[in-house]
Amino acid sequence: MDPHQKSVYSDGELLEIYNRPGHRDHGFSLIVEKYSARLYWHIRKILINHEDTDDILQNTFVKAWNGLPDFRQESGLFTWLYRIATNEALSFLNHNKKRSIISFRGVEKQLSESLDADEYFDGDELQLKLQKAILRLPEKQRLVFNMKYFDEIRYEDMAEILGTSVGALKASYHHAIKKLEKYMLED
Amino acid sequence: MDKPENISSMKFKKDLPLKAPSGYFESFPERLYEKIHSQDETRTVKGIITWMPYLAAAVIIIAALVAGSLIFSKGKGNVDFNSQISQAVEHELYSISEAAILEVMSEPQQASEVETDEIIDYLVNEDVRYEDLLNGL
Repeated sequence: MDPHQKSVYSDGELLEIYNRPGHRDHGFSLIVEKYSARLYWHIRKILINHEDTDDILQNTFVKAWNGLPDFRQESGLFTWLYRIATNEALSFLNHNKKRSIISFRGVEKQLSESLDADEYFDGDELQLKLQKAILRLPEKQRLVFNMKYFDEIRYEDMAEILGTSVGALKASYHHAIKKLEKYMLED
Repeated sequence: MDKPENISSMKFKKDLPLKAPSGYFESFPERLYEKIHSQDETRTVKGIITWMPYLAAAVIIIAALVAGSLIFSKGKGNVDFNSQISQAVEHELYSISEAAILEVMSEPQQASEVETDEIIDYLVNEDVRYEDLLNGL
């Protein structure tokens, strides 16, 4: 994973720069610089396909650009951006799910196929198997597993991003692990 | 492949095995700002276009009111009635933009050009359930 975290500013400092008169563009570019890679990988794990991820990442920052003037800092910048990215990616996925019901193709199958065909897949056989197993998880468990296992996001932050309780997240993660073990050990 | 006992004993790298195209993150900000700025411009134009039909309708109503008041005052016999009406209506109609007229004229044509994808998008956006769709056939 490319961390690509050049920004040395804290979220508070970024918002302070953004709110300075005449510094909106500069402040926003620093936010993009700090978060584009992190959000990209977060979305990519949900959508798998690079082109879809690119579209959703752009939509995420366009929404952030439109929403930042009204951002009241009731939540942190990090959780706010993750929430937008998560909602955008899930909406895209659900839209595709409904389309795939009408066209008789399952979206999980499509995601799994796009993993096989992904020219940007850079793992071994076991990693491919794990990714395919993750795609078999229910949506929420998949999201929680990816955020905890790969991104190491704290349950407290995750609860704010996903609008759910820490207890529910721990349960989801536990169920995800059990299912993945089962999927990985079968056949 | 050995069969491990649980997921933590499996020997795979924790890194995500996916790559981004080379140079993607370097070029991303530029493409993003392009999109943001084109969105800002589209919003401005859309704002104007949205108001055009209302503006045109308002102009027509004002023209009608002016014409009505002149008809009403005709009985009082102190104006050149015909020339005042034609001048007032002409003046108001000139201020309706060409864009507003074209927009109204182009509506039926747009409605006839519906693609299959648009129908599916419509059904998805309207939250039409698959079962309902079959029942409706």
